[in-house]
Amino acid sequence: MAAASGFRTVEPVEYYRRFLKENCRPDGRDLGEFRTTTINIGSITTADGSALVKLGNTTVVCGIKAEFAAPLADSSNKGYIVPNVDLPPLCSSRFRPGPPGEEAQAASQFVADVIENSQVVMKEDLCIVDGKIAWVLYCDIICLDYDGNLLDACMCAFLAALRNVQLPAVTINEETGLAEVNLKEKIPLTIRKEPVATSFILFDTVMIVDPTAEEEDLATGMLTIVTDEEGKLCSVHKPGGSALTGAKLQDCISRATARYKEVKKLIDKVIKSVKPT
Amino acid sequence: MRKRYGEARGWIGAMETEQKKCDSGDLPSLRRIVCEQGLLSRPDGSASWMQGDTSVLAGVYGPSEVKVSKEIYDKATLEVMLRPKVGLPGVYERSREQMIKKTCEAVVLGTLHPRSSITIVLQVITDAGSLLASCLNAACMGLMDAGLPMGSLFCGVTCALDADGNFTLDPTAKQEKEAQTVLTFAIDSIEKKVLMSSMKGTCSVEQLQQCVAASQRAADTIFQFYRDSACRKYSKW
Amino acid sequence: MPLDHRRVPGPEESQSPLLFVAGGAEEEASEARRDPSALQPLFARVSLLSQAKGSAFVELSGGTKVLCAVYGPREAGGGGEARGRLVCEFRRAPFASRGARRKPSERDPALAQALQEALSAAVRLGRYPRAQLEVSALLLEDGGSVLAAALSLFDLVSACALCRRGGEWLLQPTEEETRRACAQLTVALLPSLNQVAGLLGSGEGGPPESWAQALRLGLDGCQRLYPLLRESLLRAAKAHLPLRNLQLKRGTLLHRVLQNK
Repeated sequence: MAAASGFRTVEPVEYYRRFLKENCRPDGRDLGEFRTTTINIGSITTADGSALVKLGNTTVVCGIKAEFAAPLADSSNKGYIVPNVDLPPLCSSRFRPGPPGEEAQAASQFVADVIENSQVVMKEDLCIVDGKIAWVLYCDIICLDYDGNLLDACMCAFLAALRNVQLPAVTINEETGLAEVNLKEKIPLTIRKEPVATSFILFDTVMIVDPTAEEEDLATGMLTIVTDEEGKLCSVHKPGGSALTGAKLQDCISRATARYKEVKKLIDKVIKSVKPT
Repeated sequence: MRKRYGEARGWIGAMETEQKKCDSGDLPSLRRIVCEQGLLSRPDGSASWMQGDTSVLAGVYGPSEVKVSKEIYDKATLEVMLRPKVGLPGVYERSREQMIKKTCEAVVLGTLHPRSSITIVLQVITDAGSLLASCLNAACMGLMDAGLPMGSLFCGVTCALDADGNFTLDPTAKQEKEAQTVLTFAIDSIEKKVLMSSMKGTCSVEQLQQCVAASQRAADTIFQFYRDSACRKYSKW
Repeated sequence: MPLDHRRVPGPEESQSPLLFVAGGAEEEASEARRDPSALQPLFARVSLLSQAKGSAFVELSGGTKVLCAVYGPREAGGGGEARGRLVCEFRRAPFASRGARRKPSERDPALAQALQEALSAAVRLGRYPRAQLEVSALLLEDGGSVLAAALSLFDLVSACALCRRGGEWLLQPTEEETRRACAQLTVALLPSLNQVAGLLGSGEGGPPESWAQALRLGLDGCQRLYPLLRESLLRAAKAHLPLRNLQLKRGTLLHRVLQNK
């Protein structure tokens, strides 16, 4: 045992390769196996919608707060969705206090890209009065425990939180022209698409799903595929790393489609358990 | 600056092809490419890359000394800085920087220069579509000019799909805006595999595969351009 | 305000919908009288985070949720000091409070300072020369008594918040009560030594006797919290017999707790 852990420390790559030869991983999973995923929604009452997602050890919380703002002049019938990923020093010792670092920024942009690509919520749906007032959805995603596969966890938390959002009813007072909010009447958001992300790491030519932080550090490349319910691709995000053939890409997409069903089922179940209709 | 240094070391290669939309069966067509290497005196390598009206300037520094906090004991620390045409770089630039950086890391033989730094600075001069692809190409030309050891070359290709499923290679900004999907790939020169991929909009799996295939074919054209320009540069020397 | 280039930009200005609630001010007056010395039920768990050396989560029934992690000791930059350094950080999630969303760049130096002062009394920093311990706390939901909850995350520092309304002091106020209070006091106690480690008061508290009374009430609250926290630590210790997650900061203190038992 002591020898094994020494081997792991001194030659992490070689250690890992030995496992791959046997088609399994140090934590006992198959190469295509995800860690246990749990979702908890509505746990933060100060937010308009919230979700906590655990993917093995990786824990991510997403809180959505809705506010009013004037729409932009060139898109007067559109609201805003502002996603931001935060990796505080709390979640891992690799992150320093201060403004978001490179990884957090890249993750924020990834979530923003997926929102834009998939049109998960039509920005037109967030408009209250054309040119005057619209909803802004601030989606703050905070990682509480960083153990790899951040993007999948973020997307899952984001989607679950979005489905949990309840916006208060808004009417416009004819005399003053101001908005009036009725907190007693709540309306859920219209969600058009449900994008689900599936991440892989490339270890030379081997593809492995749902990497831990340790695996990500050893990997030679990463790939994240986002699919929606029609099987369309909302993102094929491969930020460099080892090269991939079209055929390998196809394998990954098939795995991502299978994963989509699992996550969708899980979110539906959680939403249902909270709101028995 | 170009007058003083550019003419001594640089050269200009140009390639013209007529730009048109093509089906998957047709040969890929790209906008006119113009590239000049070694035009800046301070960096160890530099390149100005133009495809159509999109223009990116790359400066490569390294291998040079690295900050202790960023030092990696068994390989070079690679950094990419992407400067937009106006304003300060934001989250968008940061995420593109990360993509370009990881693409370069995959091909640059960093293990030959441990504990040193390689910095690539990319300045956008004009954005008229296919910007990320142009940045990748400029970075690769810059790395070549700096003489850094690489396992292979790479190039960036952008592919736009319209609502009918027709695709355009190397789209202009207008074509990108009208397109349903815009895909950008980085392709390596040895096996024509996909090093990087990024996507705007949605598409089906078949469309993705078509675009990958078309980009791989377009990559041949760009690599031929790389080869020609390197030949011309060194034969003039 | 300068533009933040490290976050996805939103609109320049936005207002909370609570400002536009029809019928003006909120008048959900829950004037339910309660026993001023009653404590909110508290839920505490330790060693939740896989990456941290030690971590804890505390939730009060009023809604306050605080997560805390300890990293280190690691090499402290910039010269060697005989005593270790304790670096505290306190963050609020942007969605943690009612009303307007907070800008994510806003941090809470005052609370971090209070946390640091109370904790440096408890941690034996002399044992970690030239090292740095990092403590970061994250507030996920604000339901009142925030600082107290954050403090009680650390083994044997227990803490209690009070707020004064009219003539009397209430223990562990909820968020509603805090908003209406005219004075607040947070007390941190090292129960095993019976010493006060931290004290943070604000507002108009009335005569000195009143503060003294508040302090007494607070200390009493701390003493009552202590067994709760101790129990959750012990439970965790039993679950992880090698004490791996607790070793660092808690090890020595825990040892003492176990012996007391």
